[in-house]
Amino acid sequence: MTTTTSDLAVQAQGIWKVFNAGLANEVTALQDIDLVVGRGEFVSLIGPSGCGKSTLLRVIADLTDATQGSLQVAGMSAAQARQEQRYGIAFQQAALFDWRTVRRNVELPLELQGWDKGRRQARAMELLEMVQLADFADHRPWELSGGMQQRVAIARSLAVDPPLLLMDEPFGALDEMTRERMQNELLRIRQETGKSIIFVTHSIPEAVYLSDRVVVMSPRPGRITDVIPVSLGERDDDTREAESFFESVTAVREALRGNPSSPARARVGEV
Amino acid sequence: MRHTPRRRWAALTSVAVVGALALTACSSSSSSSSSSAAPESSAAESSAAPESSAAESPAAAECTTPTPVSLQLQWVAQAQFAGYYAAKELGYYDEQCLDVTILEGGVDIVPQTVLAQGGADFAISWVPKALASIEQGAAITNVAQVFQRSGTLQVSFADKGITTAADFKGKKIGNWGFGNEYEVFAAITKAGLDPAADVELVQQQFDMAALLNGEIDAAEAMTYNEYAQVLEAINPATGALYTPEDFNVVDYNEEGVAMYQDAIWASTERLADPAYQELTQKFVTASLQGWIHCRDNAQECADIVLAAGTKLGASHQLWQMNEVNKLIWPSPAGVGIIDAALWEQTVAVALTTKNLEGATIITGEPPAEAYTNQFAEAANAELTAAGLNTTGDAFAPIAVTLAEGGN
Amino acid sequence: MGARLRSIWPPVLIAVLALAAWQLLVVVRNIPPYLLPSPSLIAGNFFKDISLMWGAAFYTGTSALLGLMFGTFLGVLAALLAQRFIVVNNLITPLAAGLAAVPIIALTPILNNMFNITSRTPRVLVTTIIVFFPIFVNVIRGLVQVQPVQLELMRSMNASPRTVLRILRIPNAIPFFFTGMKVAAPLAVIAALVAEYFGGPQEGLGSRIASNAANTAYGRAWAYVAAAIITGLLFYVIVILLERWVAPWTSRPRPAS
Repeated sequence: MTTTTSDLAVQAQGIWKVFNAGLANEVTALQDIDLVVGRGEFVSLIGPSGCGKSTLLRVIADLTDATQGSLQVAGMSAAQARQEQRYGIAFQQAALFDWRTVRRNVELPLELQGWDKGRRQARAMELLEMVQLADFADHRPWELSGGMQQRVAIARSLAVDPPLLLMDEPFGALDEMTRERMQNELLRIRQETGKSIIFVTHSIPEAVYLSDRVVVMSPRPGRITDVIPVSLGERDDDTREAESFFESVTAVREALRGNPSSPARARVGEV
Repeated sequence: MRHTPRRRWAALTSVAVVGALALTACSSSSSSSSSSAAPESSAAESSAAPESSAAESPAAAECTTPTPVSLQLQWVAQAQFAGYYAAKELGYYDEQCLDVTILEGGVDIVPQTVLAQGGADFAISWVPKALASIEQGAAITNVAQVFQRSGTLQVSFADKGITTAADFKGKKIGNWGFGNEYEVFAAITKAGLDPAADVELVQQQFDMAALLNGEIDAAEAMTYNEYAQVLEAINPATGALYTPEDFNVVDYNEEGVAMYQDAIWASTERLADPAYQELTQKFVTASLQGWIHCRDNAQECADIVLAAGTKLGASHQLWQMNEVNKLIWPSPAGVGIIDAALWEQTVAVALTTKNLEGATIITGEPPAEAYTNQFAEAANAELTAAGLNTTGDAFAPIAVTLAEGGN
Repeated sequence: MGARLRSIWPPVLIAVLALAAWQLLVVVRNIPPYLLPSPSLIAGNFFKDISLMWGAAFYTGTSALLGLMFGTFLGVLAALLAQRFIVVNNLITPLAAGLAAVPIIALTPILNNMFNITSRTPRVLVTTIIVFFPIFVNVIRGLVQVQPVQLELMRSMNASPRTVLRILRIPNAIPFFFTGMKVAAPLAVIAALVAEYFGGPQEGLGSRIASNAANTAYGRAWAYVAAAIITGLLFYVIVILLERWVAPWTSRPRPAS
């Protein structure tokens, strides 16, 4: 199966990111990263602290520059992708604005794009219904629990209907039960919308449960050491207890320990 | 964590802070000097006792340990207090076996309160302010009325035509506030005007800038101080100093509302003690002797005051010395002696003059112990016997040339 | 509402106890008024001359309000400029700090000589200068101290610096602004009051306090002090109410889990 460039959500080649180049505290956060994310794919980035996963996400989001390498996001440069709002992003903190209601927080990207009030409100309510928080539209962020705030943040990231979602440990601050619920939510949204998702996480079960592929990274210098494909089919609550689930989890764990199960794979469709 | 109780505490703290700040910015130094209440003379009593009735010359008996005495002035060192500085410098206090420390005053210092609380043995204060303190419980007694006349003027540029209090109507009249405004109010009221409605009253700073800038029409001034300040200023129109012809003055003595000013006050309670009585007598005698010397030797006394560290210039001090002399001399009944009629006038003005708040200086007659002529009379006798003139009937003021800035 | 009332009574109780102890002290020790007037004497003076109290408080309060408004306006303007232009920040911050260090008692005579002493102007200027610093410092902190993740979010949404200012920095700064106001408002009353000690129209609280103290009428002087305290508290309470109305999110309760 061949894929054309425009079908790819992200195409990164030879990405390097060096901080404080030439100084005593020089750090190579990313070394020669090759990564391809296809349309509609769910890819997780997992690894210990300092492996560069968050940095890579930020390079893709054009929140920081790559020192070297080529990068195409949604078929254009990262900067263009950002300017044209071709991705939505969610962080570990929900980063909602306390002075706005829940709905007005979701409206934020639309406001910046110049949508008029009526259209904005309608779209925001649509999104809140999708994350099942429509009843809380006029509440203030602090009145919501952590999990609910993250759902609002996810709704916000979907506001302009971008083809790509970037997520930096969005469920990291939540408890285990809420986490699992949120994972189900995310998969449901993805199924409904067909978006590509790049998901940074610390949690192996989470990475396995959510992803089509798990990209394993390691630090000093930050690089991709392995790519584990996951084929669990349709996810549901039973999936977490399935034999195949545990096998994939073990594979990822082994890879993290430095025992790669198979050579690093970067291309879609190659197993 | 609840914010509300914290805020209430913060509010209460700000209450205390506002209150403390408001009062400390103007209150007297009374709290700081409330420590010593015991008379300093107790230790030196034994040495002062053998001094019998002072014979012909003021105290020539042996003086082993001089009695420490403190005098609280009403303002900073200047010729207004020359008599005391002269008495110290020329050894009159030493002859009375007194070791006198002169404490300078200031804006925040209320001398009669310092005296009443035991922070000083004697104090110089204007009579009306002292009467107000007496009514509020400060037990002090006037033992020598040094200034016989009021030195308060209202000064204005001649072209305003303000020659009597009646001319204040519709004008901007400056006064110092801080309790110094009563003669102004009394004159306004006596002229049939309503201070609140007919006159615009403005508080001056302790300089004459507001008058010279034209911001006020008439400024309150002392003959011996602020009036000199305008005569030490350059007239921009002529490039030379202002002259008296450039100004009109309203003299509150002539307006009939003058009140007694500088007097020596002593502690009423301690006057029950014979040792303190003796101390008072000696202090009054030596002080009055100092004033007599300054009457006849104005330049010398001005120099003594200059040496005591005054900030005002030489010509200004000489002017002040001369004007103060005019307020003291002649003293028809003898220096320091209170004239009953003038005392009554002072009390009457203090009782009846209302300021903008409708308050008078005092609300009732002062007690009998408010003043005594006992010490002044004895001092006059002693000094006359020593060959000094205590009435100043032959006194003539000298001519003083002011220089720019009072230097 | 009940909780708020419950939180009021401890400080009120302590104030009442303190006043009672003060009254007892004066009565039992027979302290004369020129040393320490009793609360009953002060209260008597206060209510007897209540119209005078009100008049003086109104006069000083007006000076304070004018100074507060000007100082706040200048402080906010300076903060906006300083956030936008680092050069302005480097210029203003040490200047503001220096001005804040100059005590009111030094500023006032200078301003009295520069401007017409018979008007309110020097006092309003003093108040403006005193109010400027807390407002400036707090507002600029509020404009600058936004969470990095919020800035990243705005960048991801391709927001220009002007937009970031409008959408993020200014709303973020509002609680900081009120923190500054809570300091500045009572301070404005104090500044307007103290500035009255140095000359000018004599209708205000400061002039009255000084004049009565100089006449040893401490009962009345303290009554005016009480009026000053009430005025300062009033300013403070108004700021708190304003904050609740404009920025309800600053006093939010703990989030539900």
